[in-house]
This record gives sequence, structure tokens and C-alpha cells, in this order.
Amino acid sequence: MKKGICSISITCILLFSFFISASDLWAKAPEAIRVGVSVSASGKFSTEVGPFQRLFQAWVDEVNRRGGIYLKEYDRKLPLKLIIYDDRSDAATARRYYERLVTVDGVHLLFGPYSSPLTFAASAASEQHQVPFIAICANSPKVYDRGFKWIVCVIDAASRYTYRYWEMVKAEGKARSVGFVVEDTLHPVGVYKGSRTLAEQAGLKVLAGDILPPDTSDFTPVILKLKKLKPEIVYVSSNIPFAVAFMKQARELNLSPKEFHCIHHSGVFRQPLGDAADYVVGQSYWEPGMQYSDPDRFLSILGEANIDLDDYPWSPAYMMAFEIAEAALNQAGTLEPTALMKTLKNLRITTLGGLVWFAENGVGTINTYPSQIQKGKYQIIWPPEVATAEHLYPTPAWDER
Amino acid sequence: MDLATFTQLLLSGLLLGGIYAMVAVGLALCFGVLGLLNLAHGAFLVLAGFVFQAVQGFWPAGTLVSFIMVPLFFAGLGWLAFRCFLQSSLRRSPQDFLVPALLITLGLAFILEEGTLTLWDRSMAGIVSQFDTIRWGHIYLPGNRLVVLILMLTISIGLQIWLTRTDSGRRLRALSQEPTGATLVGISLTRETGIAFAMATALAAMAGLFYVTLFTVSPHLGLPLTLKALFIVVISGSGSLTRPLAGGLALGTLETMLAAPFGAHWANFISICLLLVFLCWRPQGLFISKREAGIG
Amino acid sequence: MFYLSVRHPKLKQPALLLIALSGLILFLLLAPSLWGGYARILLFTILLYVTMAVSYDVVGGMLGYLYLGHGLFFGLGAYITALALKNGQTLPLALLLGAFLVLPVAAFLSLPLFRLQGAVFALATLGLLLLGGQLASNLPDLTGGAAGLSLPPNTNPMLTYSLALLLALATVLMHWLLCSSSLGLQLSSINENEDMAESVGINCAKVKRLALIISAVPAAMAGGLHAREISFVIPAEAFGLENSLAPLLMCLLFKPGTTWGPLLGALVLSTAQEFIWTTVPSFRLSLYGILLIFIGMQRARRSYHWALGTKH
Repeated sequence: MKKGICSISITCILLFSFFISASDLWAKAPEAIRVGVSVSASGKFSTEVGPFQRLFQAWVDEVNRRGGIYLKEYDRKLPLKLIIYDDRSDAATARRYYERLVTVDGVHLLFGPYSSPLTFAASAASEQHQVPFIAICANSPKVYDRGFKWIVCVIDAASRYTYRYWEMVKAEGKARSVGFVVEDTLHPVGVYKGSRTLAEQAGLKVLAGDILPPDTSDFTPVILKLKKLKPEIVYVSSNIPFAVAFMKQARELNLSPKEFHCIHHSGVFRQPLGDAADYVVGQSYWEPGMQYSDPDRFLSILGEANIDLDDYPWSPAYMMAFEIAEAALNQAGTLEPTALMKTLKNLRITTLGGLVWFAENGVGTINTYPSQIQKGKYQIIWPPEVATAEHLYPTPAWDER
Repeated sequence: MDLATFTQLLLSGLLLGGIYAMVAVGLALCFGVLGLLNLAHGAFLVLAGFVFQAVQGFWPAGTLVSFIMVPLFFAGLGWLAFRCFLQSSLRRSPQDFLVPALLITLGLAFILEEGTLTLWDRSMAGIVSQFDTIRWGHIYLPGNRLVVLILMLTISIGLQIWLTRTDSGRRLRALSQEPTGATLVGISLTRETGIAFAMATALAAMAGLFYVTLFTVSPHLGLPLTLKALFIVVISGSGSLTRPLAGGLALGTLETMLAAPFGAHWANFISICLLLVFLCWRPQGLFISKREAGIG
Repeated sequence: MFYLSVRHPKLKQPALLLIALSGLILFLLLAPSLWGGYARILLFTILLYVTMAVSYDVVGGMLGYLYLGHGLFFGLGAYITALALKNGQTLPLALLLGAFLVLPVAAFLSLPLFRLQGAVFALATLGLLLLGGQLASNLPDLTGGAAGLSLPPNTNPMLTYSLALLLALATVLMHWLLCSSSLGLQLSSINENEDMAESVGINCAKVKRLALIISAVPAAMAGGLHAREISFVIPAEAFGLENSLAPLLMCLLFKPGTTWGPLLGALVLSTAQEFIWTTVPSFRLSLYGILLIFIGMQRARRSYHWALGTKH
């Protein structure tokens, strides 16, 4: 019992000193622009953004090598200072660390964590303490329906995630029916709901819409169903592991539609599928060959961070967030939050992925381009002004390859 | 539902059951027989998947060799982990050892998870299937899954024979049934448990080799896979090494057959429910009679 | 003997204890305004962990079951509270509703669950946790499915914080009283020898059912507070394994079956985790893993000594 009281008081003292030591960072004159972010270096999202700490660091280093960002108010270039935490892919932890970034570390600008649930929780801190917040990979409308004034998001809403693909299908006028296979997690379901409407608007008949648990390891029931209904496009709205497992079984059970569309077909996708990945259409934020903004700079930052574009196909979205942050700081010329946020909301610049501006609720305009795997390479196939190759349609059957 | 669809679903369910059994069999040896709760099981499985992918990258022709070498390497790794972390904490009564084992193996799982992520600096591993599909009319038998099932049958029977017919297997069973008596007649608790742990790790590695060809593995997948394996071990009942196969086949068939009429979500729900009800009805496990449980 | 001396601590100076306790409460209430939002959220998290660990101890420590279903009640509480809040209820009322609705669930589940023992019990409770998650994603009309339920932003964070403080204090107090009550003694006698307990006239089934209910209610309220603070409930997080595993680790860290054991476990483990994750630049997970291994090895040594000294 005595030991217990002793240990409790020691813990309390530890906690106490912890806050005091942490809080003296606060309220210094800005010697640097402090930007804060939490990255999921562990937990389930480490699969998707595990090493992105290096991406942020590489960007900050690159900017600081050029002396930093020029701010008119101080009439000099200020370097960037990056403060980064690991949220363990957990919303409560993300919420706590963003609160820490704002109240303890006193950051001037926040980048969002990965995924909508984490962004939903984290953005409450920026809204409460009025710090500009640039969300990146978080496109659930729920995040932006709350009337928050301190958040903008680089990418467009989930429901429009593949609208360019449906535009292409409509313009080509070859396909007439589609069957959806959906992984039951937030983002794929959001994409599916929007795509279903868009597909109907494009004049396609929706023959199936199966929502399956994320850990499905046998797709026989749904594949047999699709073989019976024979949709011309099989549209797999899912994350990569689910898509790989589905495609493997589609080949094994000889499901041969005229086109496979897997919204996420990059990363490790080609490796386990081999030549079965050929002809699959998916979505890309950016592929080499697109000429908006400054692709060389992006590739050199990626190289410095030692991140492979194919493994982490959402890294261009992060680069766009960096470009937006730089432009906003430059144009605002100050670190005063209200002015910075106002500039951010009225921003209109061409980034790596095209023109970006923000709607009233903060949602951005960056969207993905349909891309097809052709002989192991990703080729953008629509719209014609950015396309790097022709769309190959229909996909040959498995035994004719 | 016509006959072809029914047969296809049944076969797919059985093949899926083979995969479940494969994931579980190492844990059945460790936890089911010895009562050593190994939460790092899935982490070893994932690491083996990454190792296999790396070997494939360097030496594409060495598939067969790595199928033997990788599990052997992991047996060594498992033995090392046992010597370093578990041996000194080993107790005769599994009840006393349960909590330390839980803490230690969970810690080990975290270290392995971060180790995999750091060593490879990649989020996922997956490789191309090795075997072709066998087609028979409208029925398709995926080669990879078929190999897993056949291999599981062999391994289960082999392990069961080892456990019941050989000296070293008998020593293990003696330890699991009457640890004090077994140590009194000169069986070394640490040595036998170490061997079993190494074997279990090798089995986990072998499961990893197949898992990475069938699906993809990522470092954070370790704990969920361990739980799935634990679930299968417990519903099938402990003490034997053929039961995980039976339990896995039951779960796989239920899930696949129910998914056609009810949809995958409710199929998972119903099969977990059914197995839980079974469990309450027969707490000793699905495939053990009350008499047997009384002895074991 | 050892147990009894812990169960009935003699309060030599009740006045001093009372002063210390009110000082602690005052400190905890003032901390957010002294150190700002981060302190509030960190303390809020720790208070929830204390609630979860201490309430877990009723089944996992006093009754001695390896119990993995605590997260089920946390998740149920989170969903019920979120639904009540969505329908315009106030927070205290929504929390009470969560606690109230969890009661029959716990009572019903105890019927089949306590027929099981050991690892089978552990896995059955784990299965229930998985079922909870499945159910939440299978009923999209009620729970929003995988997309989850979202609430309007938390406008009164101090209320949430004070309620968490109140809940943690109430749970600790309840546990402390339970330890010295006859129900607590019945629980520990079942833990030591169930057949013997039954033979001296203890209605084991009823006592165990009560224990599960007592343990479930604070967990449900903790879940509700979590839902209010984060304003977002999705199946993967509400019914996540972490919610069962964390209280288990915290309870088992020191001496399960006592009030200070899980309390201290929650304080130490959550502080250690926060400390590692905010100050160590890399290999945080491994460091945490090494910490767990170290604790496990220590425990094995200690339980060995206990076994030598006091067993049977």
C-alpha cells in the first residue's frame, strides 16, 4: 500500500514536470515557421504512410536549403521547423497530439493525419484554437459537413474520387454495365456510393453492388454471382490487400469481364499479381509524364526521402499540400492565423496534380486520373490533354493472354 | 443454387479451411498442447512472408529451397527467442506462466513488427502464385489453395504421429498432462518446451510462405492473424494436432456456404455465433468428447 | 492471509487521507486551466484508462478470469451514447442510458460465458468483441456501418473532463468498497477454489453475474465519454482489440485483485506510453515491447516467489 502511494506520487511528479518542461517552447518570437503533423508510423495505417516522416523532413530540408520561406511582415526568409508525432493510427491519440502541437509546441500551420477518422478527430484541435489546418488524405464529406472554418483539404470529396473514369466511359460509349465489389471501410464505401450514382448518370446499368468485410479471404460467392450476371466492368472499390486477393481469385476462377477497375492499383499491387495486373484500370494522383507545376522538384524530394512512388501512390497529394502551404505563406506574408487562413481559402494555384482552389467548406479540387497498367507501367488514359497512352479496351480473357 | 455452384462453394470453403488450419497449426502446438500463449505467432508469420519475398527477389529459381530453408531459419529464430526471453520465466504450471507469457510474447510481437517495418521499409509483401488452376467442367480448383490443403493434411497427420508415437512427442504430452511428474522422471521442461516453440515458429514461418503467395502481408497484420489462429485453436479444442484442421475446415465451409444466401457480413456474424454457441454447449472444444477431456 | 491484510487496510489517519484526496481532485480539476488543452486531453485519456483498468479488475483480477471482452462494453457504451446524443439527449443522460442498456446485455451474456473456463473463456469473450464489431458494421441504418456515427463538435470539453474524473473516482471507490465487502470476499473465494466456494453456500453463478455487470457499467460509461470527446464512432475503433488489451495489461502489471494494482498499472503504463511516444524519436514500438518483456519477466520471478511462500 505504501509502495503504491509512493509510486502514484512519483507518477504525478513525472507528469507534472513533463508539462512544465514542455510548455516553455511556447510564446517565443518566431525564429522559424513551425509546422506540425502526426504520421501513422505504427498501427494499421503504417502500411500506407509508415515512412512519410521522411517525406515531410525532406521537404523541410529542401525549403531550408533555399533559406526558408519569405514573409513580408518580417521582411526576411524564415526557415521551417517541423514537429512530428506518431499517432499509432488511432483517432484518440491523433486528437491528443494535435492538441499538443497547438497548445504546447505552438505551431503556425498544421498538416492533416492520414485517413478521415483521424482527420475528423484531429481537426477539432485546430478549430478550437484557430490554427490553419491542411488536410491531405481525408475525403469523407463528414469531415467537412461540420461548418469548420479552419480546415482546407487538398483532395476532392470521396464521392467524386473516380468521376474522370466515368466521364471517359461515357465519352467512349463502349461499356454498358458494371458490377461493384466493395470493401467495407470508410473510404471505399464512400467512393462506391458516389461512383454508383455517377455510373448510372453515365448510362451504365448497375448489375451488382456487394459490400464485403475488409478481411474477406474467399471471394468465391461474389465471383460466382458476377460470372452469372456478366457485367462488362468489374469495379473493385477497396484498399490494396483486398484488391490483390480479389484479383488472384478472379483469375483462379476465370472471371473475365471486359475491364477490371481497382481504385487502388498501385503500391504492392503488381508484384503479387505479375502479368495478371496488366490492363487493370485504377486511379493515380500523378504519374511521370504529367507536366503541371514542377515534377522534377517532387521527384528529387521523393528521392531524398527514399520513398518509391509506386509503393506510395498518394505521396503526390502530400507534395501538393506542401506546394499549397508554401504559396499560402508566401502570399499571406505573415504568420498571423486569421490572415493566413483567409489567404489559404482564397488560394488558386497550379500544383503537381493540376489547378487547386477550395470550396466554402474547405474541400479542394485535386482529383485522381484514371490510369491503366500497360506492360507493367502506369499510363494516364484520361482526359486526353494529360493522357500518356491510349485506353486498352476490352481486356483479353485470362486464357487468351 | 445448382449443383455446380454448390460444389464450387463447398470446395472453396474447404480450401479456405485449409488456409485457416495452416495459420493455426503452429499455435495449436504451442498453446493447445503446452498452454504457452504465443502472441508473437502472427508476427513470425508476417516476417517469414517478407523474408520469402526477399529470397524470391534475389533468387527466383530457389522457391523449393526456400520452402525448406526459411522454416529452418525460423526454427532457429524461435529457439533463440525462447532462450532469450521465455526460458527463465518458464513455470511448471501453465496457469502461473500465462500472464508472463502473454506480456513477453506481446512485447516480442511489437519488436518483430517494428523490426519488419524497419528492415524492409516497405509496407506490404506479396508474390505471384506458384501453381496453376485445375479446371474440371465448371469447377475450378486453385492450385495454390489445393497445395495448402494437401500439405496441411500431411503436416497434421505427421505431427499427430510425432506427438503420439515418438519419444519426443510422448515427452511433450507428459509435460502437458502432468508437469511435476514428468520433470520428476527426468524430462527437461525447458528443453522440450524450447523444441516445441522452435517447431511452432517453423510452422508459423511455413504458413507465412503460403500466406504471402495467396494474399499480402503487412507488419501490422501480426496480431489480427494471431487472434484468428487462437480462435480456431480454441474452437477446435486443444491437445491434438489434427483438430485445428477440422476446426479450420468447419469455419471455412461455414463462412463460404453462408455467404451465398446471407452475404459475407452476416455469414461471418452467423458463423462466429454458431461457433460460440457450440463452444458453450461443449466447452472442451468441438471435436473432443467429454470423456477424453476428463482424461486430458 | 496476505489477501486479507490488503482487503482491509486500516485507515490510521482518515482525515489526512481525505485532505490528500481532495487536494488531488482539486489539482486534477485545475490542471486543464493551468496547462491548457493538451493537459486536459492527456489527463482525460489517463482517467479513462484508470476507469477501464479498475473495472476490468473485478472480472480479470478479483474473479481471476483471463477476460478479453471488456472492449465489447466500451464499444456498446460508445455507440449507445453517440446515438442518444444524436437524438438530442444531454451528455449525463446519454451516459446513464448507455450504462442502463448495458446491464441486461452483461446479465444475459454471463449465463453462457461463465460455464467456460481458462483459455476457452478468454476466446469466447474475444469472440464477443469481434461480434460487437461485426454487428456495428452489419447494421448501417442504425450505426452508420463502416462509415460510423459522427457527432457535432464537443462544445463543453470541461464537462466531459469533469465527468471522466467523477467516473474514475467512482470506479476506484466502488472497487475499494467492493474489496472489503462480502461480495468481494465471495469473488476472491471463487477465484481461489470454486468448488469449495459453492460448497460453503455461495451462489457462484449469481456472484459471477454481478461481477460482470459491475465491471461492464463503468466500461460502458468510459466508452460513452470517449465517443463524446472524439465525436466520431467507427466499428474498428469502438470494438478494437486495444480496448480489451490495454485494461488487461494495466490490470496484470502489478497485483490484480487489489485496488491499487490496476490503478497504478493504468497510471504507469499510460504515462510510459505517452512519454515514449512524445520524446523518443524512433524505435518507440520496440521500446514499448522491451518494457512489456521486462515486466513479464519480472512478474514470472515474483509469482515464483509468491508461489514458494504462500501457495495453498
